[in-house]
Amino acid sequence: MGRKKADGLKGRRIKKAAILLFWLCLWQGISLWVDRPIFLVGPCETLAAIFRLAGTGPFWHAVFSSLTRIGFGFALAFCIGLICGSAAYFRPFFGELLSPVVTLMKTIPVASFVILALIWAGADNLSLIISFLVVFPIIYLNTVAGLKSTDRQLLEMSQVYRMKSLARALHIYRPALAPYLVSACQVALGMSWKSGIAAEVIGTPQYSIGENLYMAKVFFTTDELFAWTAVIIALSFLFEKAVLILIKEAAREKI
Amino acid sequence: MEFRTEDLGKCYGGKYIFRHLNLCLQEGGTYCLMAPSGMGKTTLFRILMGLEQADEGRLIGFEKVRFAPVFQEDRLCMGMGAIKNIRLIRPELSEETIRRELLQLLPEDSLSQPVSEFSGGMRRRAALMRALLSAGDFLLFDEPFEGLDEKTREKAMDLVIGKKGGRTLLFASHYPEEARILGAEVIGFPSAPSDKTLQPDRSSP
Repeated sequence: MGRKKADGLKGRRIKKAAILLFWLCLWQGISLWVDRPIFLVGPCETLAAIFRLAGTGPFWHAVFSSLTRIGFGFALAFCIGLICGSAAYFRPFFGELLSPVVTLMKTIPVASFVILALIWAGADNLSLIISFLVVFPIIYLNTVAGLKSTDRQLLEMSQVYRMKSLARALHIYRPALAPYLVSACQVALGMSWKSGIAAEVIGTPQYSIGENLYMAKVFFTTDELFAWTAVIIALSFLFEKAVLILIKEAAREKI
Repeated sequence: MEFRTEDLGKCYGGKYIFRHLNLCLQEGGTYCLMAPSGMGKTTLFRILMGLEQADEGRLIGFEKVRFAPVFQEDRLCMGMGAIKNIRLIRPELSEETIRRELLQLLPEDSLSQPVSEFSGGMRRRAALMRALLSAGDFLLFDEPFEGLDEKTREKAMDLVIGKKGGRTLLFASHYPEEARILGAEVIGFPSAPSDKTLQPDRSSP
């Protein structure tokens, strides 16, 4: 049984790898057929460009500063969103007060935010601000929804048994909140990353991934554009995995 | 000291589920509320605990009571084990003490499982033990032995007798047998809508 299962898993992995290889080959084939590296570079050239870039200091400088800014904006939005969401749940007036602001944050196009932030704060911390503005409403709304989903019956139980507030927060509210926060983060992580980089392309702050993408456009170095894109995808993937592991660990109930 | 309800009444959607309910419970006594399902036993319990307001009448002597309920739905924190569930409401008890007590009702290996993996009967027993070990002085059990097989039911009842101490116990049940074993005074329940006044039935053992 176990063996069969393992074989099945292996089979599926081989299938997945074959599918991936098929598309990579197709990509390579098309790039060879087009044969104009300004329009399209193949996977081999992209990989070569990644290695070329990774050997330079400015590459790591850009990766580091974009990652820290977007990450910090995300962390800040997560904490403040959680606090404001809890406050809005326990003090409904605060929620009503905040509601137009959150709606505005959700509906204003990111591009407008970027221009505004550029005017107000300059390019340096642009991606931090944008990442914050994109993430905050998602975390805030999901915190409120998660707290609203808390089991009424358990709350009554904790009231009658006079449970301490901290125990109530950790063991009745937290389990209700956790699935909402996990799915909120799954959405917010990708969005913070994408909109943060987009903001950097518009504002071109020094030493940023966005600036490098912009330069690739200016100098028609399409292979570097592809390389940076691959780097962004990889970073976004790692960032998402790391944050989700942290959140799931924080949400886990010890038996 | 005694606990009384005076002309207590509750209605939902314009219909009384009970009315003119007069109970008189002595502190430290054991009482069994016996009535068919859907007669408002659970609602009465909720009113006593202050989770709901009565529409008529008043409660006397319940203000300072600390309740230790067994709810019909168990109401345990599903992600945690039985020991942690009890420590939540009684953090001053050591894990070892709680484990020892729980082993009287639950198998050893269940104590390392989250409550979500418990069977219905095991949850019931954990909820019962939580009430018994709590700091509450008024045990209020809503059909506490429901869903237990005969053997565990007997064990659970023995445990209630042993752990009750000087506390007041009011429990709802469908079985006169349970009232007899626990030595409880049986209290009937007015069938709604009615004006009958009820007293504990002294003729029961």
